[in-house]
Parts: sequence; C-alpha cells; structure tokens
Amino acid sequence: MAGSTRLVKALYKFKMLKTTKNPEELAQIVPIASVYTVKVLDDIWKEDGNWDVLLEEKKRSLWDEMAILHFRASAAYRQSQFITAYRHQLDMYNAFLREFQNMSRWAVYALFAISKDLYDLARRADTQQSMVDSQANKVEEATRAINQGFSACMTDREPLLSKSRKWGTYHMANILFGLYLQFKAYNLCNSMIRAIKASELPSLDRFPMSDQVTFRFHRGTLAFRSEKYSIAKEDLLFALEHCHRDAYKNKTRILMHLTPIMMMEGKMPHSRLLRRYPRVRSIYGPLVKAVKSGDLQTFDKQLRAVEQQLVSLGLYMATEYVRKLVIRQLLYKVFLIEGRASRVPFSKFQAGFAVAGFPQMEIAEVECILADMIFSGYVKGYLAHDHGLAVLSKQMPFPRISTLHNNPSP
Amino acid sequence: MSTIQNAQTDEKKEQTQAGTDAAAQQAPVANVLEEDDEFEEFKVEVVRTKKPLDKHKTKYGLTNYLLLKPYNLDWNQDDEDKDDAALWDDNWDDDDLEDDFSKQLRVELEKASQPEAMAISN
Repeated sequence: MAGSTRLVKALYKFKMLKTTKNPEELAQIVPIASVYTVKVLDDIWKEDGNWDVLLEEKKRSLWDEMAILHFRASAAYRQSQFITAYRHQLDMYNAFLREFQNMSRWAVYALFAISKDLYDLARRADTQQSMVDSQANKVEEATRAINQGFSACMTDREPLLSKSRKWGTYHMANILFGLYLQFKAYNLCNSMIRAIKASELPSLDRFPMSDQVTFRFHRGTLAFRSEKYSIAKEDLLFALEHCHRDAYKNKTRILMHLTPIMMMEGKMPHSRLLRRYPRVRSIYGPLVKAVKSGDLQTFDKQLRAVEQQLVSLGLYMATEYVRKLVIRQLLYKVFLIEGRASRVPFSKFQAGFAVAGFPQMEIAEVECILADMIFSGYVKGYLAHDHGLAVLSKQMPFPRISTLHNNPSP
Repeated sequence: MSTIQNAQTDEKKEQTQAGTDAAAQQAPVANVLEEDDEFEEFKVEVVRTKKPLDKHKTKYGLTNYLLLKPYNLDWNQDDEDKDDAALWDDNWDDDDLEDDFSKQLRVELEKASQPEAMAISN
C-alpha cells in the first residue's frame, strides 16, 4: 500500500477513536513515540522511502489536521529535529484544545499525554536553540499552552459531574507545578492554587491518590517557602502518609521538607525513620543529635557542611530556626548540672557556651540570649540583672518544647 | 508508555554563593541530593499494588495494575506506609547527662564554680 493510503488509514483510526470515546486508546496512541505512531511512520517509510506525504497540504477537518500534525511532530522527533518537532506539537496541541472544548472527561488522559510531550519537546528545542542563539523561550511558550489545557479542565461547564473534564484539573496542575518550578515562578504556582480554590471542583479527596499526594506535596512545599509551617505540615504529613510505599524518592523528598518543621516543633525523627531514609539521615541526623545534647558547635558545623544542599532546596532558613532548640537544650543542661537550682548565675551559662564552642561570649550577650529564650517561652523565669543571675520558675522552668506554641517563631 | 515521558530531567539545580567560604572550611557532607530530585510522577512501573481495588478490574478479568491507565493511579491503604508519619519523637528531652558533651559541660561548670565563689558578693 502506498504511504498515502497508510496515512489515510491512520487518520481514520483517529477519527474512530474520537467517536468511540475510549479514554485509554486515545491516550496510548497520542504520545509522540507511541508504538502505534512509530508503526505508522515505519510503514509509510517502507512504502515511500520518505515522509513527504505527511507534508501535503489539504483541506482537512480540525481533528484530521490535529492527527497529521501529530505525525509530523513524531517524524521530526525521530530525526532529532526538536525545534521542528516542537512547532508541530504546539500546533497539534492548540488544535486538540479547540476540539477538547467539546469533549468530555474521557479525553483528559490524552491531554495529559500531549502536555507532557509538549513540555519535553520544548526543553529539547530550547537546548538545540541555545546552541545557535539566545532565543530559547520554548518552555515558556509551552507553559502558556499547557496552562490553557489546565483551564479547559477546570472551567468545564458540563452539568453531569461524572462526565466533566474537571476530573483532569489536579493532574494538569501537577504538570504545571513542574514547569513553573523550573523557572522558579512561585507566584504563578500560588495564583494557580488560589484559582483552584476559587473554582467549583469536586473535593481533592475524590481524585486519584497519585494526584492528591503530588498536589499536596507541591502546595505544602510552597507554604513552607512562605514560612507558613503549620499549613505546610498538614499537607506534607498527608503526602508522607499516603505516598505509595514503593515511591522511595518521593518519600525522601517529602521528608526533606517535613523534618525541619517537625524539629521546630520539638519532634525529632525517630532513629527508625532515619535508618530507612539514609539521605535524610545524612543531612538531619547530626542536627538531631546536636539538638538532643545541646551541642551548639556541632550543630553549627553540620549546618555549614550541608548549607548549599539546604539552600538549593529552600530549606536553610527553616533549619536555622531549629538552632533555638539547641540553645534551649544547652541552657537546660546547665540547669540540670547545677542541681536544678532556681537561681543560676549568668556566668554558669557563659561557661556552658564556652564548652559549646563560644568561649568569647560576653555576659551581656548571654543575658540577651536568656531574655530571648524567656520571651519565646522556652524558659520560664526572669533575669536579675544587678545580681547577675537568672531566677527560674520553680515549676517547669523549661517547658517541654512540643507543648509550646504551634507556630514556630524565628 | 512512550520513552519521552520517562526521560530524565537534565536541569541543574542552582546553587547560591552564600557561605561558600564557610562551607569550604568544613569538610562538606557528600551531596546526597541528586540532580534529578524533582517530585517524580507516580508511574506504573514503580507503583505496584498489593491488592487490587475492585472498581479497577479490567474488562479482561485481570486485576493487575500494570494494565491500567497510567494516569489514573490510585491505591489503597495496603500500599501505604503509615509508620513513617508516626515516627516522630517528642519524648526526647529527657535528663540524660551521660553523653560526651554533657560530661564536658559538667567538668567546665565545676571549674567555673571556684573563682565565682570569690566574685559574687552578698
């Protein structure tokens, strides 16, 4: 059969899929390197020795046009012509979106597939482009298109919920998170979250668990970034609890953010937990140990050693807040060693700081730290400045940290 | 599944210059975070359920998740690990003074007691 005949058959198949509305089939065929697509291209090549038939301009229906663009994109992709492939894929995507407005829930799975392909091609195209000039802006362009796909899901007016495209919203949002985070567009992430909140969607817990966990992870880490630690904790704990047990890397990622929040609240990761996640242990293990012993010097040393890694994940500041607990513990140890005396001279605390790696600390500085600890509620008592000592409360001078305020303060 | 969707990201994480000097002075902890440390899409190959959800029995009578749509990944409690969310210890600030650091503290505080007795006047 001539290449053109093979192509006509392929277009017919696409047409049929649109009619039968089979979600799985369309989603399986529409990826740029799908088994079916590869086969069609191979068949055409076998007949014609080229793919020219794909480039013939004819009057076609929108759906046929979309299908042709898909094959063009795939052919260019096969030849590693990513810039061309991207262009075709973008045109295909826009054509699909126009049809998509009149399609229901079954088509969202195909949208997911072509969105991911668009993103991947955009990245490859930008890489190729950046070798030529500085016009590498395909990812941004792709993001705008995918954003339209997301809107097409979220704003569906289909009255019958079971047929609504809304069921694709969170999955598309998760794709967009990945894109926005590539160029650190946190404001766009947050606007998207607000838009979702304002729209009328089925509640998150009715979506597939993979959508829920991924969305909560992103929403949680964004809240973390805005220092809204209590809110972040809710989402991250859910994500940790419900993440599939085999998705080890994802669990690790969740823990990287959750651990400093829990530590701030005085809850240390159990050694069993750290054993299971060696990456988490290598960063936070020594910090946990330093908190428990009040060893400020070791804490600071470890913080410096992992600083760049923490910074790259946006975790540095939060982990720094944990430092207050180390100070609290140091003061507590001094108190214990002094036989739980309710009157402790500043000079004793000063000696404690000296052991903890700060021999140069002046009494005034010690007093200042004590004042801050009392103000924050870590220590109960007052300072008798003229007598050079701290007068500690007879009852619970060092309240258990986990019973203190829920919102850790810097 | 098309290979394009399994492609690894090749983005480099940006590192700031903050504290590079300080960090250089300490022996750095080996970078345990690989470049590919974005939150990964849950994929069929990784996610295997122990027990199938009834509503996902395929029309061929098979109950293996591998045959399901990759985009509708759902699982139940049997495939989750509730332990991890519970392994947080708030009972740690005990009065243990047996660690090395505490012992050091004790030694220094006892030393500090002697000159102090002369310094504080009543």
